[in-house]
Amino acid sequence: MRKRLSLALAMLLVASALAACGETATPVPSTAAITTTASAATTAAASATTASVATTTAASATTASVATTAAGATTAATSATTAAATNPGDTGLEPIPPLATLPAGAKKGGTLNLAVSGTLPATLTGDGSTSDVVGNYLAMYNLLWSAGLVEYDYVNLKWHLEMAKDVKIDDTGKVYTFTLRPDLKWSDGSPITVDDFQYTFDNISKPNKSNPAQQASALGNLVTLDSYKSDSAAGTITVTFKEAFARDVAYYYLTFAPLPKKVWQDKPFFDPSNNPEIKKPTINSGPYKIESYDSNGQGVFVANENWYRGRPNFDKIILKAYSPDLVSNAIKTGQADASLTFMPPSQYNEIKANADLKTYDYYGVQVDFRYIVYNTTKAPFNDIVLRQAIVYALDRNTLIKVAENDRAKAQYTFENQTSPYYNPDVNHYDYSLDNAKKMLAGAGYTLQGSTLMGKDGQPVKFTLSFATVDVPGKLLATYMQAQLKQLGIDVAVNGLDPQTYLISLVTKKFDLGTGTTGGSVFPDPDAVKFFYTKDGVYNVAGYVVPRIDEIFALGTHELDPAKRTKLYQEAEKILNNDVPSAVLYAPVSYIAANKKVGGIVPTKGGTVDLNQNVTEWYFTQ
Amino acid sequence: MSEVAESVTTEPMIPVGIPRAKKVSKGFFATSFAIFFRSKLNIFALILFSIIAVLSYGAGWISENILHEDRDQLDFDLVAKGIQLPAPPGTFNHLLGTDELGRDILTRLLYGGQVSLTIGFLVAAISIFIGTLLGLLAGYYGGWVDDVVNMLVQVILNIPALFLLIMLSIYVSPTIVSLSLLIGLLSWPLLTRQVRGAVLSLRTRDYIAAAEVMGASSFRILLVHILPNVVSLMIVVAGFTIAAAILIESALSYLNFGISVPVPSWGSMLSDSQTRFTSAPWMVYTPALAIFLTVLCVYLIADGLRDAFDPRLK
Amino acid sequence: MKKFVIRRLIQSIFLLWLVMSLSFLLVHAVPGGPERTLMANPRITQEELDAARKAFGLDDPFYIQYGRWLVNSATLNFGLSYKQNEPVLTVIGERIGPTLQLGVAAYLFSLLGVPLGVYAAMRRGKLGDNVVRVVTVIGSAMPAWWLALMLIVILSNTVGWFPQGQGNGGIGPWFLNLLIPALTLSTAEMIRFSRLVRSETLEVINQDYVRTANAKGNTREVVTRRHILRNSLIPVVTLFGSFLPTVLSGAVITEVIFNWPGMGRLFFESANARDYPVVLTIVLIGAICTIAGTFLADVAYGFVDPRVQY
Repeated sequence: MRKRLSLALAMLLVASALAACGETATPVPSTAAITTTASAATTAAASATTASVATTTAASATTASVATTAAGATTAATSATTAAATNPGDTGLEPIPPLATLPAGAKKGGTLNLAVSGTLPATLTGDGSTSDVVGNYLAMYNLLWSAGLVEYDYVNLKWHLEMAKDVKIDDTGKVYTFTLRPDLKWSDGSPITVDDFQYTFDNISKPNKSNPAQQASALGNLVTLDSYKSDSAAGTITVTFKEAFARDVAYYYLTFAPLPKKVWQDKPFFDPSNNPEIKKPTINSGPYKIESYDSNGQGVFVANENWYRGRPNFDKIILKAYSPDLVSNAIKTGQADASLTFMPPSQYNEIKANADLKTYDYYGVQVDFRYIVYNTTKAPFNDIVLRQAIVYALDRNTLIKVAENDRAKAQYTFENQTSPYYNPDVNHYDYSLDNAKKMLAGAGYTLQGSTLMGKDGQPVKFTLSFATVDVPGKLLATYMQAQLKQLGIDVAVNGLDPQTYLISLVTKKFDLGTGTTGGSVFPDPDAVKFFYTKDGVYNVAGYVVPRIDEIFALGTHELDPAKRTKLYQEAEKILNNDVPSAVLYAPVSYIAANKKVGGIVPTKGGTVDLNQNVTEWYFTQ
Repeated sequence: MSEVAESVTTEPMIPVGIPRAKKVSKGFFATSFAIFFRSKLNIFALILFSIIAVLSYGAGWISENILHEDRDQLDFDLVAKGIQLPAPPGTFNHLLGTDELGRDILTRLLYGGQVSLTIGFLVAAISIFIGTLLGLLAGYYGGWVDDVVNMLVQVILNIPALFLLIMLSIYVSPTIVSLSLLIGLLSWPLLTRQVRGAVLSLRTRDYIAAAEVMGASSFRILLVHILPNVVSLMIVVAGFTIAAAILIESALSYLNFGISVPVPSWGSMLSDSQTRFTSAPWMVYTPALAIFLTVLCVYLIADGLRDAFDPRLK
Repeated sequence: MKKFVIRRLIQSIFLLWLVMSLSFLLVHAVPGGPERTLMANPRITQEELDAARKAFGLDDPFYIQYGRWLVNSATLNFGLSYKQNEPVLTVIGERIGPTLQLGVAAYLFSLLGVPLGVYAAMRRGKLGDNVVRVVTVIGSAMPAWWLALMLIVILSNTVGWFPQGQGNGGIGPWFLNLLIPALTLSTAEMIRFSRLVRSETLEVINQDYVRTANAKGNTREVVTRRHILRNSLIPVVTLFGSFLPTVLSGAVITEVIFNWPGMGRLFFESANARDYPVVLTIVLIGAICTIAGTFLADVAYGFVDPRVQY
């Protein structure tokens, strides 16, 4: 799952827009998560920031039974984790069961044809940081690789043991000892041992010298580790953190797929031209193994008999890439049985109406939302009243209809309503042009004719930027332009290519921008700190509040889930009021599948974990 | 020459002096146009194109007085009434339906025509101006001037046009003028080659030599004696350039380098509706038909003119 | 002849240098690059940015970067792709084959324009001519990308199949998958060929030697074949050179639509990702092929057309 840590971050900001459009390259695919030993040498402060994108909900991690509804989850989680916290040795993690037996009438075997939008990734190694097509790499990741010692279950929202059979945590909360399952095998039948873990860890923690732009590999989190030691005889791995982390945070840091040492050890770890394993692994740990793979053509994966969870449901899986708008055609014509990437909202009604197909909705728990972001470092958006007034002038319901074909749900803070961290007590900025006008008038803005004048007597003018590949963004821009005209504001819109857009945000050469966060690493508020803290690279709003920095710093290390929830709810309240950026809605993404494919259970982790459930799919006839 | 033909062919080419051409070789043009109008197909194309142009450039007036719609007006009444957007043709006062934002397709189609045609005309003007100028200079002076022009031509012709356009597109924010400049600056070389060729053969004519002997300046010779002879060439190339520019603009839209919102062009309307072939065909086929008819007419006119001008075929 | 070839060769090399310089300038003046890409990574530190810039030689003055690039290119060292961490040639190498298939097929299809052009010329002003005129014009009156999309929609809604990507498996699927992209790509060229051949044929028909041949009592067929076609097809040779850039341009869009793993799409992806080394090398390869094509066409022209004297 480390692949998600390093990669999903890269997908923030513009990525989902790109993925939605099938843009093959997320802007930063291979360069994500550069924290290498080099950065380990940087300041401790930096390392603290670096540390924790990736925390899961404390709730889900430690509880076996987490309800997915907001209210239920919060209470259940809180009590359960508190109990766990009092007893450090008891982690409450369950081992992963063998693959579920199929329901009556279902058929084991068969060939599943999957459609991917865009292109197939050039590299398939378990270390996804070298991938060129992150979204699609992630989509097929779980077919080939096992997540590592522990894994987060995006359907039930909880951690479980994956390749480890148990984990012990010492009293300090810093030392984690994992015991490996004895039945782990590579796809060639040879055993997976702690040596493989050690080998992989040792290498991913080194900088990638062959291409510094791609140092991605190194675990961003390794700066938080003191040591990573394996004991071959006992089959254990002992990890020591520099300081205690919330358990979910800690688990998250430890998820990376082991690579087979015996095959890899004499080959350069990062150099795909001298290490064919990177592009096409000969042995792997997941449910399927590679029969043939051509990133320019198709991938053919066959069942891995040696998989530790039993024989997978399909004999064969064939992956083919389609241009994004044509994925639906591929499924309609039967050229593909299901889509492995999300499909355009504009095609939803049509697919839904098709009698042969079934659609599945994916509604991420968090960090998959549409936002507008203000540049608060300069006029006009250094004025909080203007920022708030604009949010009042946007009707989320209409916006969702026109920009997303009604395929989204309104959202008000960085946590959505189904999250245990959601703060129900925030301003929803219910649509009211009158309210917006009143606020502006009260703050010294005046209307001259139909033009809104600022406090300085000059017309209020600004530019709204978006990436042209971001189709809903384009629609939103048009909607905002029409809407703000009613406030007397003449908004210029500026569609940019994704790179230029990103640069204009990061260098703060923008007034107002819009984008999506593009799928969460996993549902934890810690993942959004890069948007809001002082040192966060994605804090493009330039908005700095010491209390916010403090909250996110505390949240990473807070062991008590109840306190953690309180902290993040406070942050939500502050940010909701100050609106350096406004969260508008979270998309309800979807995939389509042929009716003969069963067992599809949408996950709740957004784009990133779409595929997690594929191993459970089967043919119904 | 009919009024219509004026608006089609001469408007963008004022810089190179059509009036003189008429004066000098009226006989030639008169016969050529007579030939042109002999073909019913040509006349049909000309009339249809005129109608399209009038509708497009009258978009402001038409939408205000007849359609009562605004180009960028989002019809939230539709949303309030619970109508699924994009609304199909005939929904309330939307003759051709709306797009997903509830904007009137017909209105946008008219305005889009304005943008697409303007881009076409501007591109033609730019490329005719540069193309003719460089062609004249290269053909007349020869030597290093010819070499330099030839190199410029070669450089542009040897990089695939779309490669150059994509690289250049990253710099500019797409407006009517910047897109026209971009496309125009890349589409002159073929004309330059042809003009140069024509000038080379004209240069050897006796009357040019006579003019030189009589002390006419190079400028005068180029303008009075040579230019009129390449006007027919320019008119024909202008036609093809207009058509090509409209198509290239749509290709750029498809690759996300098209004109920026909310301004519509036929190309951007076409590109924005690419996922809606079956779910909202009115969004797809209306701009498609507009592009098709316009380009078809322009091609037919240019083709007809070329034949009409061709001395070999008289 | 020899002198001509040498002169053209020198010209070609000079031209290549100009093309390279222009594209280098264009690409490097664009804001953003690998280090900007890195900035999108929330964890990156300034030191790492600097290290990356240094490793790619982006801190050197412009003229040094330019010089180094020229020298490296001359030795076929195009560097590493920023995006894929592999030598540029490897990255592009995988994509040349598919584009070649598409290009060759498109070229063959576009040759259909030749008989069309001859036919139209022989029937000038008659129904046949007008039909060809209208048909060719209709074909070129729609954006090719849109026609391609419409074809896909129609195919998938009627026969329940549409071409996608390179064919896998046997020659049958391969050909089927190639057919429609290649047709789409060839439309414009086919029309250009037919126009050119039509006007050339018209010219030849009016030549004295054709009149003589007719006067001698040869059958229409013999005149057409021996005297008209032979001469009117000469200019088709010159289209070799200009065919390539058009195909590469068209390939960008055709390959994006049909998910064809060729160089056109690679260019588009790389330009968007600011993968400079790949972008520059593709432009370079395109230019070399075009220039070589023009050069060969010029030389070949001398062989096929006895009137041409060097």
